[in-house]
Amino acid sequence: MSLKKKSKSMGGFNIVTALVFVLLIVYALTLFIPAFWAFYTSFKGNLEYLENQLSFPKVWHFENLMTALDYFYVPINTGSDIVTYYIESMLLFSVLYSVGSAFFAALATCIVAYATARFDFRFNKVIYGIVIVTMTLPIVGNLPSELQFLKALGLYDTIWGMWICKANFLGLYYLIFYAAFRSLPKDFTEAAYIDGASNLRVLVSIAFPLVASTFMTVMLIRFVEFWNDYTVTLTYMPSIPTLAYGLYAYSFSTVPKISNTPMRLAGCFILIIPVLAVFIAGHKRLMGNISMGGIKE
Amino acid sequence: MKKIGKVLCGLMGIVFMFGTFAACHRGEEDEPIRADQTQLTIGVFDGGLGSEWIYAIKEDFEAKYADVSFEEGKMGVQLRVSPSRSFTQTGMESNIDSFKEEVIFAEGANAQYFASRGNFLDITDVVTQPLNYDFVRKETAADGETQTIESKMSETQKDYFSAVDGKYYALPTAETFYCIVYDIELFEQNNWFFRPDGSFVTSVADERSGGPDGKTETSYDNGLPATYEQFFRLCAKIAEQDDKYIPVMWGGNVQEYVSSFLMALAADYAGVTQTELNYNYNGTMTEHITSFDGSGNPVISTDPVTITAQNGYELYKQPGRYYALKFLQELTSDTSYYNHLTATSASFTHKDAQGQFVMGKYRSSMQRVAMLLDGNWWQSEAKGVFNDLVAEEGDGASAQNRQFGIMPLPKVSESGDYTILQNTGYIGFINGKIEEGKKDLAKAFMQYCFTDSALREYTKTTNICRPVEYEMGESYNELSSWGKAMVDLHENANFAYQDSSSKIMQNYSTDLWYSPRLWLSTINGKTYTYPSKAMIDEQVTAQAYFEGSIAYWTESVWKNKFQNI
Amino acid sequence: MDFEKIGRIFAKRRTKDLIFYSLLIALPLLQFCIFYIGVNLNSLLLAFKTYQGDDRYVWAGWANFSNLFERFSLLTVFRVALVNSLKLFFIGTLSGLICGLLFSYYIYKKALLKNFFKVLLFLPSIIPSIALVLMFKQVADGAIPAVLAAMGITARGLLANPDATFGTIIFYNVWVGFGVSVLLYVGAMEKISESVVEAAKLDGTGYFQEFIFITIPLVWDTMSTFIIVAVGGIFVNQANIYAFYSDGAEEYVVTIGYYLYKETVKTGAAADYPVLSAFGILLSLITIPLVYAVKFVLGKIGPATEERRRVVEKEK
Repeated sequence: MSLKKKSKSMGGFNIVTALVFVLLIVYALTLFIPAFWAFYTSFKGNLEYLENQLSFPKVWHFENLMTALDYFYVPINTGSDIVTYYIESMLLFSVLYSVGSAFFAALATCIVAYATARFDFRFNKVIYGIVIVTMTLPIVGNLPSELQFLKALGLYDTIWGMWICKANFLGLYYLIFYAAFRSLPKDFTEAAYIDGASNLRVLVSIAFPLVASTFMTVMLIRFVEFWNDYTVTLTYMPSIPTLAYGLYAYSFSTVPKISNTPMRLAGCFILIIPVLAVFIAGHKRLMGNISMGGIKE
Repeated sequence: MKKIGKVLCGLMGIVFMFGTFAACHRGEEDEPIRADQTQLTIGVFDGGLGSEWIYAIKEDFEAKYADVSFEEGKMGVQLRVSPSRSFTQTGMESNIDSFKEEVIFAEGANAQYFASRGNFLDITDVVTQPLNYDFVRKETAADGETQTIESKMSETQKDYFSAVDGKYYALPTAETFYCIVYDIELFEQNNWFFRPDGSFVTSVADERSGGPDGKTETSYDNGLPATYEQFFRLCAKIAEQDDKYIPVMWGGNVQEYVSSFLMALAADYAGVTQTELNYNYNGTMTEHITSFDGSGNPVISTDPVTITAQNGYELYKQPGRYYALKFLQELTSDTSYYNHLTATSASFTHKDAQGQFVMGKYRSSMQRVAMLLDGNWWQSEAKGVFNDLVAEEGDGASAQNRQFGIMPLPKVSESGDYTILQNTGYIGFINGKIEEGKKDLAKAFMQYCFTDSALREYTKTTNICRPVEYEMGESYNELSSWGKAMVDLHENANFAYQDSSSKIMQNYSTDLWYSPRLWLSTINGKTYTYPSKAMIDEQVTAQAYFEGSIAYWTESVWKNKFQNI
Repeated sequence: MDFEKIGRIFAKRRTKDLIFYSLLIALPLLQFCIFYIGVNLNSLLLAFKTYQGDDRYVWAGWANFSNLFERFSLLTVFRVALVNSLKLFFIGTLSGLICGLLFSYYIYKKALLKNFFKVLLFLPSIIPSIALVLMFKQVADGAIPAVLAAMGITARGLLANPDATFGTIIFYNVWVGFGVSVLLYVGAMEKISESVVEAAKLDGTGYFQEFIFITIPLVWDTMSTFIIVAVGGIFVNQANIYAFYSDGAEEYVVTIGYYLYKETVKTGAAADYPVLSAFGILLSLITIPLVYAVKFVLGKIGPATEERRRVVEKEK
């Protein structure tokens, strides 16, 4: 008992956590030092940066962030006109694209995982095989045929087309959902069935709410992935610039005022700040308890 | 779902916030669309060379057709510039079908590849009609240039750009190459020029040597090191004053610049015909190294070797390659000759190198750089640094007023003409999907870009030349010292082209001209990509590297790699 | 009880289940058929074709495979890349796994600043790689040499120094890769019932023993899934090398995944697609059995934990 008391009073400290604490501090430093460097460098003038890449700014150019905002635009040729999209439009596109894609990707994975976890059909083995094979198979040069498909189906250059395109059930997240559904006590659903509930009802009003936190977390992870993906505009939706594409265009921009390292870093912060804000505000909800068991067929 | 709602609300809040912040002040506003005119959209690769040159000719072109109606109810034309990074090989490969630009200036794109796929409009008439022929009005003007664009092109260019089916589909647009830039002012202050007898001058007025070409009448290279020996004597002299100057600098994260520069050195040694063998694989190699003698000197055989795409690996024996490596070996043999600490650093970019080169003059804390290894478009990229310096130091610091010159590549032993290896892939073309009604207008614009006056404007705004023949005339005096150097070389040097219609070049161009793949070399079971890294990191010698690249490119490797030639 | 009736009810339910099951997976499966099979079939068939120029391919049988094997014997890059891929897997995955588990244990134990660290470990996952790589390069090649220089040591940056380069890249990948795994480990650990741990403690187990003999076995399933996923990706993992070097990495940092990637995205890669496609299939033929084998082995070691759990619960 004394042991328990001690560990409680130390806030979970023991010899293992103490060692890990040191490791974590080192980790935090390796993260914070570069971030700190990037932060103060983004407030430097370019000449000062070239003179000394590591020193603190002598004069803090806070206007860099505003300049970055001003130059954060992408001209898109719509055929009839060249439309300049500024940051707010790109942000809107980014939100629509990343939240939507993340939602549908999570939904597709969740549904297939539920089906295979809840029902015992031989086809489950096929699904499992698909997940494993697609995870290991490197495919080369499929971009042209992918674009052909998207164009033929009328999904090219649309946001909802991307939602469909990204809504696959493959990968690690299938395994996570599978485990989540498997770990649900059967009693819940059995009781509902005895009460005469339909399969759909069980799924919607019992199973889904129980994995809601897993769903949110998986969605968050996918969201971040889509949020940072600049290639989607480049290849799949050329007239819908996302924020990540904006940063890509910005960082390769030849406008003299911004084509230097401090301004490029300032541009990076524009992309980071919104996600960071959402993340810090909602991390407790977003980083819910997800877990995954082993792979059981 | 409640949570998703909250997240969405949060993000929308930020959208709104950004909107209000940014809306109060914007970057350059676009010129509004003029509804009463026809729009012609010009796509231009969003890179170092920029699109300023289009704005420089925009007004004149628009004025030329101000009184012509191209669409019902509209009068005149408005040029719209659409910069994008998609106008390059990869971007065009996947997306050219959806490009809406009518005329496009691309970089790093293979003209023949797209022409044979049918993506480009046939512009044979643009190239072969006299420049005073008006495609819009269908008449030949009384004044204006009577020559054709074709007459401004070289034989190699004509062959290449008409190779698909005898018709022209694209035109070459930029004369770019890798070179050494030097700070004229710094050289003059320190008497870093050579006298005809090979000693250093003692004053600015002192008589200078004829430079690498040996001719005193071409004044732009007079006094510059003529040979490798002089070049490294110069490096030693610059490095004499401890830490004050760095003789040669390049960006540590762009080793491919050094690799491309070595190809330029090899080309300058080999001359046009022998260099172009590396791209057309059709001809006779006149010189090759067979072995090295006891004292490490190459044994050169003059037995002719017929080169085809089947035995392209033989070209790795060309002496020019060895001498280029030798140059690099000597340069890297002394850490005070180059920016040793940053020359391989991933955090030191070519823009950082340009910055240090340009601003060293104004910062005593920085080591000043005498020579920069870069592409000839470097001034466009360094525009930001120049602007910042002008704001601080006044007009004298501008790119227009600073004195920078090109250092023609020094020769291995004796002086001779210059051969410049021109980069490939800078092309202009008309989108094959252009509306019928705009074809003539697009042709007129394409043609307009190659009139002497437009060509001069191009050089004035970009400080480089278009790779066709034209006279700068009076405009020459308006150029910066760098621009003048570009024109001087444009007129006096021989140009070797990487463009070739050989099948091997069509199917494997990246492997044959793109620098990270040009200097593969296997030494003791290890394969190197960059001579610069091998020499700096592991003191590999030129001989070992040269032999290593012959060892890498065996007949079986070549045949395995290049299947469809 | 009327067994026949029950049987009928079950049979009826089974049919209903089957219909429902089919409805659930129909759309995702259709999506898979179109966007995976449909899109990729052509690319897979490329392995048996050869390039004729102008985007045309013709059948070539097994020629690409023999060409590939010839390449293996001719070029040094495959050997180096294989070694590097394995290094990346064994050093990178292993150290990532150990650190990930330790960090998760720390958070699970609710030790000092646990929420802070939980957020921190996830942070690299949300930063755009353009920014992250830029920052990392600057520190590895800019700040570290400068700091060393201030201490009187002349040294090149971690990425510039060929002896340190690959290690630095492995480090980078471990460094940015904790996010999801830590979330999952913590999730699994929090499912361990308090009483199991308490019971073990009464036995007088030390903290190291607790970590190794109780915590790890109980997250064994999660861990093995990660290992299996990592094995599956062993030849696909390009380890962010493209972000560091674009397509110009020196041979000593090349991994199989990077090699495949850069050869695929280079301009005018069409002529090389067939051989690369053959390479991709070959790699899968190695990896798929490997995945099943690893899964089998992990499963074999696994049951011990089930027993242990039972034993512990009995003691309680």
